[in-house]
Amino acid sequence: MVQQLVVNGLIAGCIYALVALGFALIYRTIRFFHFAHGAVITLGGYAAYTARNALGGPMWVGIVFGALAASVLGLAIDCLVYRPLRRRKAPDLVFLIASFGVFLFVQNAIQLAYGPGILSLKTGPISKGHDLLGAIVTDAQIVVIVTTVLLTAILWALLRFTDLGRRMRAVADDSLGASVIGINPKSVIVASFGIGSALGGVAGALVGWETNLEPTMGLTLILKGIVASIVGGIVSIPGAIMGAILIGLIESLVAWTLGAQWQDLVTFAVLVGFLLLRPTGIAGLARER
Amino acid sequence: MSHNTDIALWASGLTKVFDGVLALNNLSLSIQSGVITALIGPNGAGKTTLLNVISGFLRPDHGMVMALGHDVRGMPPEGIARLGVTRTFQNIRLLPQMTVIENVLVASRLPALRGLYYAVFRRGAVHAFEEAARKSALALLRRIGLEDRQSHLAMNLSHGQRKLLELARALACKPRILMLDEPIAGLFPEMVSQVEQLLLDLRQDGTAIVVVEHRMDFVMRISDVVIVLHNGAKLAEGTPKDISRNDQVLQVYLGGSGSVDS
Amino acid sequence: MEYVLHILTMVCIYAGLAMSLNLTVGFAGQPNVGHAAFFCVGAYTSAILTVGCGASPPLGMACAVLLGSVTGALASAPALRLKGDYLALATFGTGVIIHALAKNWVAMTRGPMGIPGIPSVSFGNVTLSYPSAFCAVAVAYAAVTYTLCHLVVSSPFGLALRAIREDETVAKSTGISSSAHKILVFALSGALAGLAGALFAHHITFIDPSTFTPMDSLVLLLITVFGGMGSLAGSCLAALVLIGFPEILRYLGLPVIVVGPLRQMAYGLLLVMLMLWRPQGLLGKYRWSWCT
Repeated sequence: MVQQLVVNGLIAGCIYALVALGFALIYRTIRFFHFAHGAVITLGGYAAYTARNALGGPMWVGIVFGALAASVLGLAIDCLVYRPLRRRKAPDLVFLIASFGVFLFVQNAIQLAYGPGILSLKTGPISKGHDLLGAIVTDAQIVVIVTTVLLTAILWALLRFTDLGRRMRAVADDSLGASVIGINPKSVIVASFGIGSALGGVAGALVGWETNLEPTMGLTLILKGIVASIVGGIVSIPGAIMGAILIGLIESLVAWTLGAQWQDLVTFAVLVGFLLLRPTGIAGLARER
Repeated sequence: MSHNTDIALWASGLTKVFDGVLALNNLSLSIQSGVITALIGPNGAGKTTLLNVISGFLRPDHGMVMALGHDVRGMPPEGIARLGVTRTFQNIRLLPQMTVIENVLVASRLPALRGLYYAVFRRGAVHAFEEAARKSALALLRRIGLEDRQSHLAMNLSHGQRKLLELARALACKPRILMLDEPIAGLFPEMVSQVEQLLLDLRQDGTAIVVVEHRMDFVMRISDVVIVLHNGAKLAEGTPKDISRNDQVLQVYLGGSGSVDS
Repeated sequence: MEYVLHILTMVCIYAGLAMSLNLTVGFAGQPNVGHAAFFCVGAYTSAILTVGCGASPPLGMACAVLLGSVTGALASAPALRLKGDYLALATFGTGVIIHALAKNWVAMTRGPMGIPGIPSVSFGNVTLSYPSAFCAVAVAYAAVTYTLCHLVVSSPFGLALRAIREDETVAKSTGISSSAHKILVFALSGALAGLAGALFAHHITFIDPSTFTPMDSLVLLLITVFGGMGSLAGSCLAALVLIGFPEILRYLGLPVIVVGPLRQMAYGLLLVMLMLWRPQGLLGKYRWSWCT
């Protein structure tokens, strides 16, 4: 029983980790809550659905399509909304509210296009699942774990070893200083949105495969991604992953003790609690506001 | 009744560390009522940090502050302000989208709950309160020369006018301890004499005045006591004449930025 | 004619919601993206008391005001510690929590099934089920809310709120207790929004959690921002435009399944456009502070 709880928590944690990674990557560059990332995730899921319906083929085709579509949307949002606001030197709150507006728009556009019902990326017969140390793990769940680990490793390598990664880290640590030594924040912003949104798209597609797609899925996912990021220390990449796994495990525990319907409430209570008591997160790496 | 021997403010052993930098280093001092005390020192000496600690905007890591007979450690800034400790800010902080007179009116405050209750149920009391507050605010603006700008938005004022407005707000709080952070920076000579006269009048009334300034001519002219800070500690204390002759002080100023005679 | 009265009633209710939100966001400068929570608490309080306990609607409404103000005071906690987009996020989280309670605390709220059969307001033998009579109540509510808010913001209390908005450090340095003011203004905001919720419940006679989602908090914020921060008249105008106008969409005969998302898309687009080109809204007197 406990193993199943842990496995369920890990699976959810992996999805949240992908969401949180994308979110944190973007946040480190732009320093406000890109709430619209939730809608980007949703689009990723639905784009994967459309791609599979149109093209068929193995699951990864859908995932790639989802990542691409999400990436394009994320970049478009930055280009059309955030860049003009940056030019006007708007305060963070204006960015956040604009982000809310984008979220509202995109989520409802998706609902208009696909209808409010539940869709799924699952095709074929329901597989029985494999036994892993006493817990049942389905194929989809294994893919989730593997994908998350793989993408995290790639991201780590990117940040650590490539020139782009170094520039991204420099801007994340100190945007002003970075620009003084000649790093153009624009290219870093584009990279952050491109990569971060792609990660979100993968998360959306995986959710569509492992559970379901519905137009409102972006809200809970982005909120959990934000919670994970804040719990982990908002600018910390490893912190975001730690926070995500923690949230996944807490949720699993809540589902078992109180019932699944209380998961969201507990998660958001954790968010409000952290914001009030420890906004720097457990990794303590965030800058105080 | 003379308050000249009263100690309005007393601080002992103040220590504050920021990111590994020792901003205040076991600092102790006392400020008397009816006396103008100047706080000087090179940039980074800890002058503004000291003001922030005394006014409650910063908690010291160690040490204590007694203001007007109260231990103000841990008190929120508004509580300390209500005791009669008022300060201005180095970078001029105003209420930009409110008018000049409103910027002064904020000093005549009503406690929150009472204010809300009166607003709804005691309009008469509110009007009386507002009338009285308006009268004294206008008198203050007149004294400071901003009366004809009373309906202008604070953000539209010139630099000098903003400095004066902030001073007016501080005066409107009827302080018993007034702490000014660079009150004459960037002011024309006429305005400087205006400020000088205001401070001398306040001293006459028994207010304890602390002035952080870099302009030495001003400091030498109006202060009764000069305290020199360096690296968060008190380097010297004495009359303006003593300080201007103090070798250590000269060393610190000539070796660092700026000079003693400006 | 009945339909027009219905729209007018809704406009009045949302005007009250926007004005109460303007108190915290526009006048006190505390971004609150969870205002639907107070609306929700008020609606459910009155519904549960009248349907579940047989209380009279006026009593239900009075309790809605009370509980709304308590919820408001509690919801002010983030504002005492946080600023800017962290505060917005925390208040959004509050809205999520209240919505989750409405949806899942089935014993109290019947969850997604909602509470039907909410009685219309009656005074003695006169039942206000006629649209015109209830509309009068709604208009009275809007008028009372406007008057109350106006009295508060044009008083020394209101001056303190605006000082907190402009520069909280300055406000504190003159002795203003920003915490006390914030708690009180949130409580007032919650009380008025709670009353709006009760009116809504008795007018529609059926409530369910879908009216009080976090997205609905965004719509309320939109109305307030569109009308203008710090402008009570602006909030009323915005409610008229943003609530009244889209009702006309129904007349166009579009299927509900299209109208819903279309309307929200329009709201989202409007929010973005406002932030880009006119953040002060229609009649706004205060600009978002453009210097950090």
